[in-house]
Order: sequence, then C-alpha cells, then structure tokens
Amino acid sequence: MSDDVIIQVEGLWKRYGLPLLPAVRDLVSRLSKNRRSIANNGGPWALRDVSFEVKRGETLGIIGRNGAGKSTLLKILAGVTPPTRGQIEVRGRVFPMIELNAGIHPELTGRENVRLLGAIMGLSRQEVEEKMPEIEEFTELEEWFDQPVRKYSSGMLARLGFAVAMNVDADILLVDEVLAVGDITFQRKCLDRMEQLQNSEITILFVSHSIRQVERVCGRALLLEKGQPLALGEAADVASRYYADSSCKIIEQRTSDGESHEIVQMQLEDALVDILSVRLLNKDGQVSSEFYTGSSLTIEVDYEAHQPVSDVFAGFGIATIDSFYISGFTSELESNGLDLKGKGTFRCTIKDLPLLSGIYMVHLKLKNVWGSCVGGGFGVKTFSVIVPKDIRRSNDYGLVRLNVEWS
Amino acid sequence: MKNMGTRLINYQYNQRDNIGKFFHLLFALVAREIKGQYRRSFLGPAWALLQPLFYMVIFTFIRGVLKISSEGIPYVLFTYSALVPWTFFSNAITRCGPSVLQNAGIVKKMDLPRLVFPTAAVSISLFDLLMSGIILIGMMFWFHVPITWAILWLPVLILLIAFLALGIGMLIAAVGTYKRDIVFATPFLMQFWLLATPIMYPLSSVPVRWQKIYTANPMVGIIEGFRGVLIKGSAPDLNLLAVSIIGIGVIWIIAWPLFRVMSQYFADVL
Repeated sequence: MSDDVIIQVEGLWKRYGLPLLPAVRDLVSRLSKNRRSIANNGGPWALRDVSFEVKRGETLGIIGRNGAGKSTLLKILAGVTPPTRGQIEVRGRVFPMIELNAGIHPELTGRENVRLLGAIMGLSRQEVEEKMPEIEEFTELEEWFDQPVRKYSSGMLARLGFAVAMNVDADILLVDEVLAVGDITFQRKCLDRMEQLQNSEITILFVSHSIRQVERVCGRALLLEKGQPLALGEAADVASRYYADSSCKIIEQRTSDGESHEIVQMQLEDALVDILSVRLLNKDGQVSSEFYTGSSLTIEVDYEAHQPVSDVFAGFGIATIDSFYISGFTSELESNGLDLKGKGTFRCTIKDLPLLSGIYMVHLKLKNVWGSCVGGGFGVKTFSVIVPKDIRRSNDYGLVRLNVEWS
Repeated sequence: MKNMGTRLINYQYNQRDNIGKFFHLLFALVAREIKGQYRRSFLGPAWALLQPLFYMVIFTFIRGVLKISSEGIPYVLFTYSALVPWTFFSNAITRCGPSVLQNAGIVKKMDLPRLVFPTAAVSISLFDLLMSGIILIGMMFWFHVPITWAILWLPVLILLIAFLALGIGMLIAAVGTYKRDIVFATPFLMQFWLLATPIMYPLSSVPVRWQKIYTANPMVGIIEGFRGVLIKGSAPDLNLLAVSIIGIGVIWIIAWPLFRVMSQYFADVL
C-alpha cells in the first residue's frame, strides 16, 4: 500500500446482525417465534464487494439513493460496526461527523453538554476547557449557553454539536449529511469550515443526497446502489451516471400511473383547452427524455380545445426536480397568438440548451389575451440533461452554462 | 471462522491517551446522570436513601411475625447495614442491563470502548451508596456503635461488590442489548437473590444441611463481612470471602470475552 493512501477498502461485504455459529443460530431461530430474528441466516447484504482507496488530503463523495449503503460504509470506517467480510485499513484518526448531538442530556446546560460532547468525541478535559470560549462564541447562543438544553430549538442544538465537532483534531472526517440541518447562516458556517478543512491535509469522506454539493466539494465520488459500487471516479462523471439512473426511475415513476394521469392538469374553473400529451424531442426529432447541454430540445404539445379560443399564448417553465424554478418563457413576444380550435399540436424549440447535468421538469400554461389561464399543467414532462464529454469544462458549476468570451 | 472481515487501524497512537479518554468519558457519563437526576426530580438524590430504608421497614414488620434472630444487635441496624451494600449491588446490576440501550445514540455514532456503559452504571450506583452510607453512619452514632479498625475492610468489600456487579452487569448488557427479556427479568432475579442472602436474617439462622449450598452465593461473604466490620467490629470471614472472589473470577471469565465479542455488533441492533 503506497504511502499516500490513507484508507484502503478491499472486498468489503456487510450484513447486519450477530454472527452466531450455525448450531446456535438454528436453536435460537427455533425457539424464537419471530422468524426474522437475529438468528436468521443473515439478512440482506447491506454492502457487497466494495473496494476503493482514498488518498491523504482527498475529498471523496459517496452518493446513492436511500438504502444504498452509504451510512453503513461510514459506520464501518468509523469502527462502529465490524465488516462481515473483507479488509479495511485505516491509517489515521477517524472522526465521524454523524449525529453530532448524540448523548446530550436535556436537563444539563449548553456548557455542561459541551463538556459531555467533548468527552464523547474524544477530546481531553484540558482541550475542552481551553476551547470553551471559542465554542461558546461559535454557537452564538449567548445567554442560552447556560440554560438547560431542553429549552433549545433544533437549530440551536445543531450549532452546539457542530461547535464541539469543529474542534476535534482528526486525520479523516466522515461527514454524513450533517450539513442538512440548521438555518442558512449555520449552513454557511459549516460549508466554510468544510472548505477550510479541505485546504489542509485532512481527508474527508462526504455522504450527501445533494449531488450538487458533492460535485462542488468533492474531487472523486463513489456511487452505491443497493450495497454495490456502481461507479467510482471524477465527481462530475459519477454525478452524470447518478442522474442518468435516477432520471429513468423518476420518469418511470411519473408515467407508471398511465397516460391519463401523467399530466397534472391545472385546476381551472374554465379549462377551455385540455392538454392531451406532451413530448420532448431531441435534435433528430426523436422522442427522448435525455438531452445534452448545448443541443436542442423541442417541446411538442397535443391539445384539444373544447371551444374555439383565439389569441392564446403558450408559456413554458423549466424547473429542477426539487422545484427550483430556472426559467420561464412565453410565446407572447415572438409570434402572434395561436388560434386554437378542436385538436392540434404546437411546438417550441430551445435551440442551445444551457442546462448542466441534472433532472428537470417542464410546466405549461396557456393564456388568453387578457391574461387568464385557459389550460396547462405542472410537471408535464421530466427530462435529464448530461453534459457531453467533448464540451465539458472543468469549471462549469451550477445550473446553467453561460456562453462567455474572455478578453 | 472463514472469511471474517477485519478493520485494521494502522497509525501511531498513544495507548495512554486511550485510557485517559476512557476515564474522561466515564466521569462525564456519571456526571450527566447524577446532575440529570438532581434536576429532574424533587427528591433527587433522596431516592437513593429511601430504597434501603423502605426494605428495612418491611423487614422489621416481617421479623416481628416470623421471630427472626438478629444476634443481639438492634434489628433495624442489623438489617440496614446489610441493605446499604445490597442496594448498591442490586441497583448496579439493574442499571447495567439497559445501559447500552439507553446510550444507543452514542454507540451508533462513535467507536467507543463499550465497557464504559456498564462501568458508568456501577459508578452511579456507587454514588448512591455514598448517599445512603450517610444515614448508616447516623444510625451507628444513634446506637452508640464503636468504630473499629475493621472499618478499613470497607473499601475492599465495596470493591468486591463493584467487580461482582460489573461482571454480572456485563453479561446482562451483552445479552440484553439483543434480547430485552433478560433486562426485564433482572429486578425479579435480584429479589430472589436478596432472599437468598443473609440480609433479613443472619447466616447463623440457615439450617446446617443447607449451609454448603447457601454459602456458594458470593454475596454471603461480602454482606456478612460488611455487617461484621461495621457493627461487630470484626474482620470478615476469609473463607466466605474466598468463595466470593472465586465467584467473581468465574463470572468474569465468562462475561468478559462474551461482552467483548457481542459488544462489537451492538450497533447492528440498536
């Protein structure tokens, strides 16, 4: 194992439960009424054949859907639970930044709980006393600091735990979605701290559901699915892979109810126009749900107008899958209003799709001249975007790529 | 076992640091519990005193009915001096059982020496012992009991109880974290054990033909010793104490490896 590798995982398999000897296992399972007791021949594998290396100073992201095994992997690296099979070698002090508030007693004050957390997290009594003023300041709790913790809000508790955790010296940090709690200022502090740590020699393993955060913060990433490693490599590559897999599933989910429910029609008193179906076409005119940054995307809408409606303008909105609205545009400025009668189809093409990797949805609204809505639907179509390798720039971050010229 | 997974920690670290950290955590856990108890309840630490007093009152009633001898010592003193160490023992074991379960959050988060939890349970009960010891000292003054050099045996006896309790506590915690039945059963078992120990009655009252089996109970030597040292001013019976020490040894030989193995998987079931 070379000198700069700080964590080496080889052939890791994990199954939860006590590994009783087969004879005892049989006996216990016969005695216990619950067939799914610990004595069962194991259970499902939480991790299967995971192998990877982490170099000193690296930040590795670990992503995957719920139940993929991310937390299990961190627990094993932290030493909380033993691996069932495989070898793990860790060459430094590990500090798991998981559940930072575990052990807090509600009757004790913030200060007393800081001492307690310090003991739990492995700080010595001297270290805790020395750093107490810093910790007190970081929490911004002021007079609450000497009040019993049962009076605290969850945001205050989060700050307490994090303030202590920040002062732990370790070579390896295991961060498990810890940054998901607290308000904006607190999250800012956490991210700042993370970036500070990254500039030092500290190795970080970062588990998150926010792929954007992982792409931003990590150099490499590991994608897990049902305990198996699906991809390991550059964060952007692995993220694309995650999107590709996830978008298929989201699109399946949304269309699994059948065509008729696919479009969430707007609740209108007088929906004069029904949206029959919406299709997304790629640059070759084929129906698709996967698009590339920079290529064209055409939205094709089949409608049926119950009465003739004139001067209708169509508006589209593009939002991320977590409802972050990116852009909305209507046909008002471009063309004259459409006259809709009976059944028909209209199209809109986005020529040079500026979106970066991610999963997005399309909203549609049809309005008449006076601005009232005559039809439409939310989330009528979902699609994913992948940045093609040839135009990928290493400094593209965020939602969109802007066409820039330097001078 | 074939195909066992291994996790190797391979860097320079100071073993003494680890020991320091163990004790730091131990003190922190004990402080947490005691402060929490004080603040949460009105009577707070007084509960520690009430338990042996309560039993003493009950036993005094029973004694009147069953005519139990107390070897010339006022019965109240006779039984209370045995109840104080017994309560320590019984509470320590009862606290050990759920000690890991109650700290599930910490266990699932960090790699800590899990022995700290039963150890904290025993330490907390030790604190309660000191509290109820105050009443015992008061009682001894009241009854004009002379203090003799035999008192120096007290720390030894207390230590023996602590080790015995920790051994059994480890066993219960190891199994009980997986299957709670044994934790629920503990109070009942302790009641039985109380009756099988010379607290309510003196050892001399036990029929001769039962004596051999009876004295296999490791608490016999310790409780009789406690009473002897405090009230009669005599050193404890070394034969009986030898039985206690052997008992402690046997229990630890079983409980310690069992706890070490089973505690590794605690996080899987918490």
